Amino acid sequence: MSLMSLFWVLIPLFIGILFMGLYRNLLVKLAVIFGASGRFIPLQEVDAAALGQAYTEEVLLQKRIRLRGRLPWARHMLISWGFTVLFAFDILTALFTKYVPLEAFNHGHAGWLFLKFGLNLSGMVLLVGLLIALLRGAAATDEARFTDRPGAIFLLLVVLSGFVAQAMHFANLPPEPSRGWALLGHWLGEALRPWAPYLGSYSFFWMAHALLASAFLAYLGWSRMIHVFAAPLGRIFYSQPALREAKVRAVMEGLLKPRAGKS
Amino acid sequence: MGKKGWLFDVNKCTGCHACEVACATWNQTGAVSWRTIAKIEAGSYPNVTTRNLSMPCLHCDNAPCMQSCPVAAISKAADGVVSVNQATCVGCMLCFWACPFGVPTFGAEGKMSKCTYCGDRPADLPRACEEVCPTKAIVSGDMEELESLAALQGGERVGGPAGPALFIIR
Amino acid sequence: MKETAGTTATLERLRDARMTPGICYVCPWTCPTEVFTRNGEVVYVRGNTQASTKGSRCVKGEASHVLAKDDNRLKHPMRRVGPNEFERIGWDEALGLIAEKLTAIKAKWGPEAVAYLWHVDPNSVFAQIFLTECYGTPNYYGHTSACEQDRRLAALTVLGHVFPVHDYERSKFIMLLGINMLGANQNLYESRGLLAALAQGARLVVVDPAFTATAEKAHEWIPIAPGTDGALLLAMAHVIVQEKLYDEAFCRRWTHGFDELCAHLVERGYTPEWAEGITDVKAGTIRRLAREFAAARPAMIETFKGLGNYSNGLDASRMVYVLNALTGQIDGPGNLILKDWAPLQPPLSVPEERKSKPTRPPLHVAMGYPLAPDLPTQLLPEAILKGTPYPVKGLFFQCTNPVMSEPNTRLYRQALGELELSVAIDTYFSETAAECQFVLPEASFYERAEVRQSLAMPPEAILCVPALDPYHEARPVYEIVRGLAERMGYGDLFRWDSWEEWARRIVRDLPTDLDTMKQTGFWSGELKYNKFEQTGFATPSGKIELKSESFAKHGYNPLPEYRNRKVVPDTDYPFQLINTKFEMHCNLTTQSNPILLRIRGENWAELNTADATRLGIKDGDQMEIVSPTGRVVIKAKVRPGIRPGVVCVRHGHGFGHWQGIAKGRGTHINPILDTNVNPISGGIGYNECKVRIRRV
Repeated sequence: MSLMSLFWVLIPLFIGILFMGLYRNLLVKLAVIFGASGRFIPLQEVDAAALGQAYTEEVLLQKRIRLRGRLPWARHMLISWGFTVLFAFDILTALFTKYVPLEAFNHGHAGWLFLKFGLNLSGMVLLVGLLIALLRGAAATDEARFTDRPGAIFLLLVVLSGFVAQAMHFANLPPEPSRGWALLGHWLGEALRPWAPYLGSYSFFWMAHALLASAFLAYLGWSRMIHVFAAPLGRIFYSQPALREAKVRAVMEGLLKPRAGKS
Repeated sequence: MGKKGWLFDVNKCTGCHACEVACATWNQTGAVSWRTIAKIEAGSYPNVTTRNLSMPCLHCDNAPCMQSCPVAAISKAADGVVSVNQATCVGCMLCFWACPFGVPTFGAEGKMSKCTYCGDRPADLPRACEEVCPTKAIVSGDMEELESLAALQGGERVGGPAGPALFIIR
Repeated sequence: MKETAGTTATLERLRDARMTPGICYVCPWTCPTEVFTRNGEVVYVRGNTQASTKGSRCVKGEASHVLAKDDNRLKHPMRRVGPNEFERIGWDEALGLIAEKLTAIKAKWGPEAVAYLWHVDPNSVFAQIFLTECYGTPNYYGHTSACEQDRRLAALTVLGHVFPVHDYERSKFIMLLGINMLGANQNLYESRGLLAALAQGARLVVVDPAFTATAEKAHEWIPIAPGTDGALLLAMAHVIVQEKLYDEAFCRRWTHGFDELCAHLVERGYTPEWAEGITDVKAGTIRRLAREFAAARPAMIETFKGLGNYSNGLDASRMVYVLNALTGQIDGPGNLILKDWAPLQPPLSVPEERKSKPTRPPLHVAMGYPLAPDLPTQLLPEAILKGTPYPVKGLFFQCTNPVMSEPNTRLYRQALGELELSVAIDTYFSETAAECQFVLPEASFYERAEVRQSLAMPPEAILCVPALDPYHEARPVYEIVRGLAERMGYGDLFRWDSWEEWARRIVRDLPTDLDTMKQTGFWSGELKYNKFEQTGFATPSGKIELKSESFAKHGYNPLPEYRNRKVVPDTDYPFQLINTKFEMHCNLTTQSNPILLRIRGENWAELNTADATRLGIKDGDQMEIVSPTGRVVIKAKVRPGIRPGVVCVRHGHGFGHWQGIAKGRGTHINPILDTNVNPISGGIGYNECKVRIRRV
């Protein structure tokens, strides 16, 4: 089997493993908790204000972590927002460069540069966050409660491979100052330019990055990283007083019901 | 090793909340409460009844919290006590929804914490809640002992698929 | 109950702490405790397991460790420089100024112009000795008129004992009127006894317009019409007399006025049929209760504050004790216990030649209340503002907050402004302290020593050892009084290098020593029953006074009678107000406690379901309560467990801007209450109040 075919087998496999993980570790559990016991609440009882507040404070601004400390909060914001925006730009890049027939998104043009800028900036934010986390983690003790060292190292490899792939791409192209908008990708590319002929093909680095990224997603479905889905969902559910009250009341009344024949 | 559990006498509980605060003091949880306390009044004047209930974690046989945790942070020890590994917990709160009794609590840091059955106290010391209860409504111990105690007083094990380790005298 | 030898040692080890015995003084039941501290912090507290309380505690005590480092506490002496404006001053200056003013007041008005009031009284014996013996004022008082004045006078009058306690555990029949010991009252060791009695088949009857926490456990709840318990009790006595269910031998030997009482009950026609019309309790029920009570041995009927909330509460309370006496249920197992006190001595003594003797009678006597067991505080503003019965120019408030807790608080504020000296001694800044010239920070029970009587059944003394270093500049009362004494020529009497010196004097007559007590936290004597067989009763006749000679002496009716309460609902104000409190709160110390405020941060008023439906009020709505005196807005709690036509307000919230996290929470209900003072006891009739309600 050629490397290429292996690649096209592994990528879907990893994504498949991600979805299996989400299914088994998240969806099934949610369905059992809510579906079978009928604990969903009707739409009109949803407290939109509470939901909006929980979404803003907990999901966007990560209040739980801020309450723990400014440094953990800064680290986690860098990592989670870096990752999210990077992921978004990845999708945007794939869509726009392939499917939008505008000249702006051709290689080297303004739209393309904007996308590269976004990818790199968010990637750099993510990289800085990860480096602080790993360096800080090396020294910390009680902080171990809140870190996922293997996950962080894995993600670091993904990000680094991404930058190297981008750098190799640019290093094999003629120099172009406007590519400065690609920030770290451009700088690394220029630094690696002298060694480009010896380092192997860009496509190898690109495939490595894609494999690592997919493997990370697979890992996400089966590790603590699943909190990126589970925690926001959980916080949003918890913001609904109707859900909480109904739950506890039903329990209490069941437990306290006097037995037949006793007053 | 016998499985640990609770015997609770609804007739003795006055809903005074002393157990809740004793637990918070012993476990140094601040204002976070690891108990759920309810007073349910029923009937119509003048035929009124009230029931009081005070509940910690019931350390269920088939703990739904454990089964619902996406990161396997919750485990059940040989003595039946269910505990959460704070290092693994990601604060997603699914265990709260899974628990039929709404036991898991989440402090300011977002991690799950709950009744540990006063895990740091030796087995022959009363639990913090049990010690303070002015009417002795709470009894801790091995499930076999509690079963006999309950039977003597017309109590029964609380049912349900989760299998809570709780005998209740109504 | 699980206990192993060395449990305290185990807990000390688990918390890496040191245990010192303490006394919880959040509320007046003073449960002895074991305080575990580590590095100057309280890490755990539990009840003293060896003392008579057997380790029991309540929710307030359990949460009280917050006190030890609560930033909201008073830290420094302060002096008022303007409305709502205080400046910090040093102890030297504060004590010096107060001493100066005391001297000036004594010279100009006489020492009787100074009075001392307390709600909780840790170490106030020092203030008592200093003020009544050195300074010469007879006006050293507590807070009983706002509490259980009627019950206290009734017990003193009928039984000759100020504070009967209860052997619930051995009782077979218990009837409680206007007392909620599983709820608001929370004297925990007795609660356990009550539950134990029930488990052994005792019968409990609770008489109360509301379905209280105690009523929850009762076999029978009698939702009596408010303020009519006296009629019920008189009718029960009528039945006992008519059907000859009394203990004749006991009555002949140990009661005074038995024949007069019997004749009186019949003459007045205090029959169950008569009572039915007043109390809304069926005559048949009244008869049955009387017979059950009389037949059960041992049995007990008791009250506390509830009856005294009405102007007719004194005689109703007397009837409680009369009934116990009629069936000979006094001081035996399962009865009211006329407890012996531990032989404690004063911490110091003042030689005769150094004493100042007052020339005027105590305020309560001069006010015309010679029998009042405590100052009728509702009449104090008049003494300040008008100088009747004689001028009051200086007041001390130890942990008491009349500006919040009395009716007509406007008058109190006004009166405080007219004083030449006003001093608040407290752990928190109260509404009353806000009106005083001097505010002195008192040490909490974690930072002070104390030796006092326990309220348990046997004679028992309990000890509090300071567990922590002083909190900022807060001082225990013994140090505050010493400071005053030193500046007024009595320093040589108030002299000690450590608290142990005066504590040893206090316990010198106990068959133990202070060092032992510092380990155990208490000394307990033998519980003896039927002590009166040796000593008689501490009444003028030496017997139980069914007919009161002291009442007769002062021109009051010596036999208990029934009068309707003064304030009765009408068309404009169709609801009867009654009041109670929460078991989570007492005084000021709980209002700043985040644990207790999470459990109960606001108060409410309870309303019957049918009444609420009629008025369109749902559970949790805000409602307005208006009386002829004032208006408040409070949260409604709709429940079936309260008599229709009655609204029950839970008091103790609505503290104002002075209380940290309590600020703005709950409703202060006193603005709707008017002055109503029992003409004999001086007790405050808080429930003499008619209101109308509407949803807002």
